[in-house]
Amino acid sequence: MQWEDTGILLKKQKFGETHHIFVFLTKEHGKHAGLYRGKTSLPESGEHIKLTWKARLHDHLGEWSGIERQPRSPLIHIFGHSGKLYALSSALSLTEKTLADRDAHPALYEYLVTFIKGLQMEDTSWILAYISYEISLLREIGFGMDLSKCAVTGNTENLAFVSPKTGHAVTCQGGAGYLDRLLPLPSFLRDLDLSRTKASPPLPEPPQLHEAFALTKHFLEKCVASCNPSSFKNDLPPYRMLLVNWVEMLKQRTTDSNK
Amino acid sequence: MKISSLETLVLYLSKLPGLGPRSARRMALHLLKRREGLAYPLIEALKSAADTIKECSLCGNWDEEDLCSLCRSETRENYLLCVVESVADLWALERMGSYKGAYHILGGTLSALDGRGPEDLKIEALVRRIKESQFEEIILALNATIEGQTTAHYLKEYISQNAASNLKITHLAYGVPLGGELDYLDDGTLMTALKERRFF
Repeated sequence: MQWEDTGILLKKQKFGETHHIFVFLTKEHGKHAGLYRGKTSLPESGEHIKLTWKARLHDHLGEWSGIERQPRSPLIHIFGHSGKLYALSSALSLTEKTLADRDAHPALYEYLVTFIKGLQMEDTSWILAYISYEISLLREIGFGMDLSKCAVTGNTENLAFVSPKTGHAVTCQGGAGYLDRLLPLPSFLRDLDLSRTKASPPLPEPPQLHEAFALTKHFLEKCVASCNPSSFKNDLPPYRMLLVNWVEMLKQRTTDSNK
Repeated sequence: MKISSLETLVLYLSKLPGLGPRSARRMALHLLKRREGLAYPLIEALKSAADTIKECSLCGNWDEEDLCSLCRSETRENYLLCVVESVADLWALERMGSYKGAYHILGGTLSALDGRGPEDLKIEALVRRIKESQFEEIILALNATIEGQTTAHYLKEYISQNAASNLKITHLAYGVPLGGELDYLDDGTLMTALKERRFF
C-alpha cells in the first residue's frame, strides 16, 4: 500500500549506519513512522515536507520516499534565536510523545504548521502561538480546558481560576473556599485565538505568561506524563523548562530596559 | 549446535561499522591467511587498546593516560576552549591542524526525544573547568542542526550565568563551503551566508 501526504518531521533516529527512522506528524495519517534510506540532504526536525509512505501491509513500519523539502525552510530564521529554538523543540517533543501512532489530528497539524511559520516573524507573537499550541495539543489528546464559563455558577464574566481536576474555569465567587487549590487563569487565555487566523494581540505582561505556562504545565504533567511515565524521564521535556526560563529572562530584560 | 571459532570471528567482525556478514567473511579469511603478519599483531593491538585506553578526566578525549596528550601538551594555546559534541568531532578538528587550543567533549546534545537533559551532558564539568582556568574564548563547535543549535544557545546562557558573564563565546560560521558553487547551494545556507557576510 502507498499514500502521499504532507508532514512535519517530529523525530529522526539513526537506524544502522546509513538509514534513519523518521517520525512525521502527517496531515491525514497522524503521527507516522517509517524507514528512510536516503543518505544526503536529510530534513531537519520541524521541516514541512511532502512525502510518500509505502509498505506491503498496513501495519508494517514502511518506508518514506519521494521526500520533497521546501526550498525555503523557515527554520533557518530561528537558528540565532534561543527562545524560538526552545519553543520549536518543546512543541515537537511534546507532540511526538503525546499523540498515538497513526491517529489523524488534522486540526493539530494545521496548528503546528501555523506555529512553525509564525517563528519567522520578528515580533514576539510566537510566544502566544506556542501557548495556543499547548492548549490545542491538550484538547486533541482529550484534556481540553473549558474556559468559556464558570463550572460552578455558569457565569461567563470574571473568570479568574481553573480547576486543577476538571480544567473548567471558575469565578472568584464560584471558587470561594478553594482559592488556594485553584490555578490562576490569566485573562488573555480566554480570548486566545487558537487557530491564529486573526491578527496577533499584544504580548501580555510576563506574570500572565508565567501563569499560562504554569497552567498548561499542570495539565501536561498530570494528564500526559503521569498517564505514560515512560514517555519522559521524570518530567516534561527539558526544552519546555528552558523556554519558560527564557520568558522569565524576557521579563528581566523588559524591566532593565524600562529603568 | 556448537558454533565454530571461525563463525564466532565472522559474527563479531560483522558487528563492526561498515561491515556486513559478507565483508566480515572476507576479513576473517584474510586474517587467517596472514596470521603472523596481521592476525597476531591485530590481537595484541586490540587487547592493548581495550585494556589501556580510557576517557580523559579533563576533556573527555580517549587516551592511555588519565590526562590525554592534548591536555598534557604545553604547546597548546591554553586560552582557547573548543566545545564539541563527541570524540569524532574532536578528531575532525584535529585533522584540520589549524586549531591549537583545548577541547571539551559534551557527550551529546540536549534531546528531549532521547531523554537527554542538561544533567546528562558534561556541562557542570565544563563550567568548573572555565572557572578554574584562564580561558579567553569559548568556541561552541556544535552541529548546525536544531538539536545542536539549541544546545549551543543553552550553553551560552548557562556559561554566562554560572561561569563568567563577560567571557567571549563564539560559534562556528555558517555559509558557503570551500569550493561550493552558489547555483548548487540550498536556499537556507545561501540565506545565512548572505546574512553573515563580512568585509572584503
